Amino acid sequence: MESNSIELFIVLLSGIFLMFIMSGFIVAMVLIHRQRQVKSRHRVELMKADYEKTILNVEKEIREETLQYVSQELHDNIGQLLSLTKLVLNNPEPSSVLEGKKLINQIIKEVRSLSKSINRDYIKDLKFEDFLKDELDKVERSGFCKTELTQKGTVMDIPDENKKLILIRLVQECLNNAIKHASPTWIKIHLEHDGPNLGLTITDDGVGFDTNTHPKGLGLINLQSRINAINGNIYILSEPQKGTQIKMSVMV
Amino acid sequence: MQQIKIIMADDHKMFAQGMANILRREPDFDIVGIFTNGKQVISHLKQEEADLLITDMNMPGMDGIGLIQELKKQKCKIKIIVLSMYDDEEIFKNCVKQGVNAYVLKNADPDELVFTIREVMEKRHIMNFDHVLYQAEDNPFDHLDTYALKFKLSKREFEILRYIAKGKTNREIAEILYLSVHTVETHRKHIHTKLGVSSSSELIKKAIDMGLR
Repeated sequence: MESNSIELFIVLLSGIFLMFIMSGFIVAMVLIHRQRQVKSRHRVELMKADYEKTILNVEKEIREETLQYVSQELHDNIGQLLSLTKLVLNNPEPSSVLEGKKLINQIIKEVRSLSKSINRDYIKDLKFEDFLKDELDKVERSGFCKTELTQKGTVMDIPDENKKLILIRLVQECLNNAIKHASPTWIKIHLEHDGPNLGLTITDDGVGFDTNTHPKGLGLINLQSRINAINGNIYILSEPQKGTQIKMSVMV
Repeated sequence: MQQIKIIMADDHKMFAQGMANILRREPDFDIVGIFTNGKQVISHLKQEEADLLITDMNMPGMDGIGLIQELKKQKCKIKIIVLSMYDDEEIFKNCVKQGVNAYVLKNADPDELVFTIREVMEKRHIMNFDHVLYQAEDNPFDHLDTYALKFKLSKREFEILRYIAKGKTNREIAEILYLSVHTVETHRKHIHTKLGVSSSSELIKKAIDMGLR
């Protein structure tokens, strides 16, 4: 009789012990799982913050670029027109009043178009291909070099505003690079829009560079990280003295 | 009258044309070409000489400084006046260093550019930055515009007349206005002719009558 109760006691004890181990195991599993969840949520939040920081930086850079353009236009174009108007109106003859009026009308037009470029909603309402046309026009009007825009595929706009913003900034950076470093005689942009696939190719016939080194001031790493932020791809082909071609593709 | 052959370099077409029209009103100014960058100027000068170049600073391709350096390198004898929007003293000093003959702001009194051209061609121009700024300042004699119209007097001539009425000598006036004595004498002769007077005392009386004190 006594050995039975001792056996029973041992079985019960080991049973309870096993139960403790199992529940400990379950608790540990739950804790580990929760920790993993927290970690992955944290990672997602970091990625979101990173993306948002990229967008803010891009917005800031586009603003700065716009302000620089406006400041230049005020000085080089509107300032000159106003000086000319002053010169013309200095002449007491009545014909100069008419000439002065014409000049002032021209200045009003230029001021209107400038104020449009500062308008905050400009980017939102802007069609991507119109933006490309405007940027190339600016380059050609300044007499820097010839430009050309070609398109293929059905022209649709980019629904995701952040993607449009980053693409706009990428195009501006590539054009700035070409102007600052390449001394080209022409710059061509080719836009291909095939369903959700958008492809952009920017080519120039300038001095090029060695793609194995990372020349300072081109911000090549910046270009890469920005296209990554919108899950796109960028390929840069260049050889010294043989021009440069930048191909970008992204799903929109 | 000996013609002064002038070429202009400015990439702002409207401004260049407007300025050329204003300069053409002078009977001895002959505008032989308007170019939009330095390279065009160099190739024009290879075929035809000119007496004076009026150039802007900012031009695509070869800009103002590049053009001036190239002309100096080629030992070209052409006189150079920089006509610029920049009222920055560093840019002015650099132009002096490069050897330009004069610097005029685009918003200066139009008469001042004409005077400066004559001073440069007659080798009596003095380069001074305060004078450059002064040329673009408002006309303090606007209230005398009826006299300006009647006697065809410019801001500078009024200024000189005022100092004569105050009893300043030519040398003193030259120092105050950053002009050469020769220039002041030339202006004085013109003022005499325009006001139709033959003596200094008549001149001073006319000045006082106008209210120039």
